[in-house]
Amino acid sequence: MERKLMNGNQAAALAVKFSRVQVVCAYPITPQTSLVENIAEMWARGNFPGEYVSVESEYSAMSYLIGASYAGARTFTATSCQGLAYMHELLHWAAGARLPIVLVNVNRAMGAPWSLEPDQLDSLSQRDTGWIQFYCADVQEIMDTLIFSFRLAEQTRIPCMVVYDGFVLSHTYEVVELPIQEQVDAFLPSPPCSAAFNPARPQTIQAVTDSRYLSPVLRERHLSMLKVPGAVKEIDLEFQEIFGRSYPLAEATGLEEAETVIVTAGSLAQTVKSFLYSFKNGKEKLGLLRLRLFRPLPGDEIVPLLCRQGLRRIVVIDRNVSAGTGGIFAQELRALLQGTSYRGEIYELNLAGGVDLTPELLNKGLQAVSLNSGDRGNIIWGVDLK
Amino acid sequence: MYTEDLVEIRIHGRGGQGAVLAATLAAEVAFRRGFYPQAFPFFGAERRGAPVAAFLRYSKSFLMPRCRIYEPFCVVVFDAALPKEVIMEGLKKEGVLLVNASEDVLPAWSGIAAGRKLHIIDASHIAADCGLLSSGMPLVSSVMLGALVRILRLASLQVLEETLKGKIPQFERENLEGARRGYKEVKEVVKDAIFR
Repeated sequence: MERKLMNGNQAAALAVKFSRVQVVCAYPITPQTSLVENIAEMWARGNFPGEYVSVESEYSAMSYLIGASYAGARTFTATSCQGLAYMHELLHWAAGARLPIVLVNVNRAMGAPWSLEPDQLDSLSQRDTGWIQFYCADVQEIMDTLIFSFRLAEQTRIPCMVVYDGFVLSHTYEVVELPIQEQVDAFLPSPPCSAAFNPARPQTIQAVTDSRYLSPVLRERHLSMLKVPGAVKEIDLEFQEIFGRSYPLAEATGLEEAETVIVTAGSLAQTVKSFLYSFKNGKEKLGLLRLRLFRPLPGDEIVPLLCRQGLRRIVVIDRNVSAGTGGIFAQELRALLQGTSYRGEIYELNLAGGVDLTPELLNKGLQAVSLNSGDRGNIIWGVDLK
Repeated sequence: MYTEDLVEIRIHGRGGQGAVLAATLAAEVAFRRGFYPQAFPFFGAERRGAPVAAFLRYSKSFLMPRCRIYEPFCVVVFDAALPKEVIMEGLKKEGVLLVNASEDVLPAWSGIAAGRKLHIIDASHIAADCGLLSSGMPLVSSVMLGALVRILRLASLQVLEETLKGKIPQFERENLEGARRGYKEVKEVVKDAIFR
């Protein structure tokens, strides 16, 4: 296999090409811009067999893909912060209509004020739209998860959002192992999936309905979502067989012995992981749980990992804040552990606004945790530890 | 080659000078030598002529932090007119400084380096010599890259040339010549004296 140096946006653009996407429709926004530029350039040079459609907004981009997906095409778009928020209404529509659209969101702080920092609130604000969400930790994972997502979305008929940190991953060059086209072709079905529109059989779809029909539809959507972790595991076995790499629903490091477990998502996990290995001589046993599949949150996988004798503390690192509540990953974890045998404390180290997690800041955060009385809801703000 | 587990480098230049490209190509060289590299730009909007920074870290292990670089081991200066406080920020005491400057400014830079290893290369002059000019502005990226690879003892000239072939978007021949000359002509300064 060929190994090449590339950044996250380049890897995502190549994954879209490898996946033989038929319709790409997007509007550029920093830090996503180079992703769609890469696809547009491949298209302009005749190296991208699908359609690349330029539109005047993210709202139009998602509208266009909804139409294309109804017609049975494999579709892709990418965006960031305000652009994703602008799509919001249509994200609900795509999920409700069971259209397997795949979207990349490059994390960037929501304005106001304007910022380019890799805050996660843009994608987390979309958690209830009914889209599957993955958070990636490195450039290889971006490429693999994107290829994986077309298969998962089309198999489950649930749209899928692949999320990664702006600049930290979108603009960072590192070594990626490229697949060959035959592998991707063997992994992804062709044609992608059946069309809802069929000119030979005219029908009205998504017509006005009432609760007698709507409630069962919503229940079905919920139950389908619950089956996603199982589908991910099943498809991952095949992915591993073809590509030689495997990805867990949530990545556990050193959890068997840990007294303190750090829970986080995205590229922050790699800084924590490198810290864990350098911290081995320390007194306290540390572990890491990286949330990868966030919607649906795979509780059956996560809860047993955390309900272990000897685990005294969980420190959730969020790079987002839901004003008035706190970090969203922390909030999700509390809900998950409610009613389980976990009796330890849950602390929050909050990096909202894109605060950079250095090993020094992490160390200070852990010191603050050990000094803290353990009041629930007591947030340790990373910006204060600098 | 420096034996530290993790090498962190910061490059200062101006938008359009190719600081990011140099960091990326240095990452290619590190990759060729069996390291895991991470090369990344300053996080933000880039404008032609405005001060910019690019970063490179590499290690034998894939397990590296993913934060920005605050205490680099090596700082590379494409434009010696950039503010010295910005250039020197966080540079380790045992660190290395590589500056695009001519020999007549040596005493000033020896003072700024304050005991750290100082290397200089007249990259603007060499770039102009090689025909690497854009609207009269010398494109020093490949010259500085050659010098950087040399002072880090990252690769031989042959490996450097092999790595760059096919990876330079424009003016490959001129850039290869620039890199070669950067590699050969970079000088170490010790107590205001030059060692070649």
